[in-house]
Amino acid sequence: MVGAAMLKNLRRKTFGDLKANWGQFLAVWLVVTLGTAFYGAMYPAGVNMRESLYRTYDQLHYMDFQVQLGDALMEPQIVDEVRAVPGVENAEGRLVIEGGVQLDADQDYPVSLRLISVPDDREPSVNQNDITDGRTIQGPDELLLLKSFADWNEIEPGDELRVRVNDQMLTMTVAGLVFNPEYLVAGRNSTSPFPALSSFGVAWVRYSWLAGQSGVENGQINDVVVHLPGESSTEPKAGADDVREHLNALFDGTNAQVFARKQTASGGVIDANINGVFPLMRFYSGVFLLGSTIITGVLLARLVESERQRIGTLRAMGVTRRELMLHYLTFGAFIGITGGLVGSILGYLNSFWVMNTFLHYLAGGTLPGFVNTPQIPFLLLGFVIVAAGSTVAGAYPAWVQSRTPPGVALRPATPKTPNAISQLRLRFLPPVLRRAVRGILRCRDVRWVRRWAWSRER
Amino acid sequence: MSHIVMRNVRKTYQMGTNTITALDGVSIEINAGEFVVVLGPSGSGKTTLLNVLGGLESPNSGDVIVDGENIAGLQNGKLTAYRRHSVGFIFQFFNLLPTLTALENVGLSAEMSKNGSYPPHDILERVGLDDRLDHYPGQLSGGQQQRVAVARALAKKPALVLADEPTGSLDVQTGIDVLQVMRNLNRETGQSFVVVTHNSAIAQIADRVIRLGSGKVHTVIENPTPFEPDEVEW
Repeated sequence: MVGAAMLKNLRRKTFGDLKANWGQFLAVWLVVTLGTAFYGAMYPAGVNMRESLYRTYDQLHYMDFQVQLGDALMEPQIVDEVRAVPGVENAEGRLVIEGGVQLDADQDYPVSLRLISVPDDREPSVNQNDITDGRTIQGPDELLLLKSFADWNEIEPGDELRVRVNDQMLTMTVAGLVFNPEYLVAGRNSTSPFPALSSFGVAWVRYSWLAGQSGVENGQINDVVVHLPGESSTEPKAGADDVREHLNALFDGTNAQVFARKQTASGGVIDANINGVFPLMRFYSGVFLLGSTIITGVLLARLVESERQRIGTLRAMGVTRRELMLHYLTFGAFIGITGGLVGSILGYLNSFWVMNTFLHYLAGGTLPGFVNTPQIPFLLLGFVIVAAGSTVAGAYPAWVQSRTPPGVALRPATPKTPNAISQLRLRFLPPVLRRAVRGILRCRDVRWVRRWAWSRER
Repeated sequence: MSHIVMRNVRKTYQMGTNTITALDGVSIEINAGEFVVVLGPSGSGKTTLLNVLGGLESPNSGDVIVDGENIAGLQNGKLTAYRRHSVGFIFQFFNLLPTLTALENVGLSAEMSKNGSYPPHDILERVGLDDRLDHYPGQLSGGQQQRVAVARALAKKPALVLADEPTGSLDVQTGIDVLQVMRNLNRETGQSFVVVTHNSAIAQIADRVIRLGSGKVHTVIENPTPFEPDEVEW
């Protein structure tokens, strides 16, 4: 081999070829860029979506267990006993009352509104609210309203609502709109988990007000939510099974039911969606990347094949195979590196859109713990695959072409020997279609079409 | 300058089940600095002879001795080096690289040579294209393109210039101009030229004429008083 470095004028040819055939190269570049962009958007969006949810759960201390007492009421001391269970970080006792809200004066029946108590003098330690609009509750006749429900029904902070509790219609003021991890998906319960925001909403009110309106005394509660230490990303959290056993034992003999996070309406739906969509996102990431790499390979191979006579000329002039490959792999490398780079950046930006779209559908808006960390190793892997794939796609056909003796390469390629398919008469087709169909039948693996054509031929 | 001897060269091609004999025991000699014309009808083996001389193809048997080295048995890499440093090609359809200017086309050839080269600008001036240096092939006429191809072949100072039907796609007058340029450069540089053609009129400008037919040498005629291209009756 002679001449290891690329010849100066051959390098000029590279830029000249790119300039002269910019349309074709742009098409290949777009395939690479879009393939990488979709690859870079899908799987990382899945990873970050999961991370955003876990961060939201952890920021707002989303319950790991919920104990529903049904119609029964229990003394508030039970919460202290729950807190004393080994492995429990915090627990909160609540009143959960099914009420209603009259959104329209002409409405005969009020929309269902679940009223959940919060402590009068502090924020709840479990299932905390994230106030997105307005402020916290400052008076007894104020409530916090689930944001997705408020948005759907065009309710804003400061609006007055006619709320029905215990068969009484009361006027309440909306202090603020909130995200709550318990109702990211505003489902009624695990048997009716999907949101119906026109007929079901959730509001948080002071305990003393709700107890007073419901006739509950002595701080009694009908619902306990429990939070364990640790991060949601490591779910199931350490010791969760033991805690559940303790809770079952503690509430033994009552009608209480203990639900894990995934057994609740929102937790269950989100878990099913995220875990259901995540493999799809990973699959489509791979499909987009693989597809674009294959298409790039085919297109670049065709481009290099069309250079057959020029390759012959260059070989006749004494250009070595190594110089030739270096020259042609430059196209692939240029396309792969720039396309991969731009595609990775676009993919990262696109992942915001993918996440926001999905989360908006799922949770009605951006989550408090929203995070979109660039998945550098993943993006790097995609970039390397695309860059290497494109480079090989440019170099391999050049290597194949350079093996052809220059004397042969200088001549036009010999037409392929006609086979039986290309001799089909296809007289049942209009003449203008015959050549096209013969071409398809000769080049493509469409056996059933061939069988059909042969049967018509006879 | 090269002294070339081909001895009993045989070259065959396999076309499906048929074996085509392109060169059948060809033996010729070309002296250094000679302007040789190879004449023959289509299929007589002219282009194969040129390809074998230029190291584009290897013969099945026989010797091709260039300056004492037999190139017939050289490996691929050494043949490439032979073409790179010792041979310049001129093709019927010019085969210029369309995305390089005239200067760059010639420059590519020049920068490959290890024996020194003519400055591309100078050699283009000598073929009368000093005002077309930055033109792309698509902006040049056929005759101008062929003159660029001549300059490209000569730029790397090869010992041997091989031309395959160099006037085949040119009109008569342009063909005469191109041949005149080639003949002048042959005299000025002392490089050997082998021109393959089926146009017997061109034989009148050669120092030596080799007639081929069916892969064999029919006659070799020396011409002590070659004509200038513009003196020939075309």
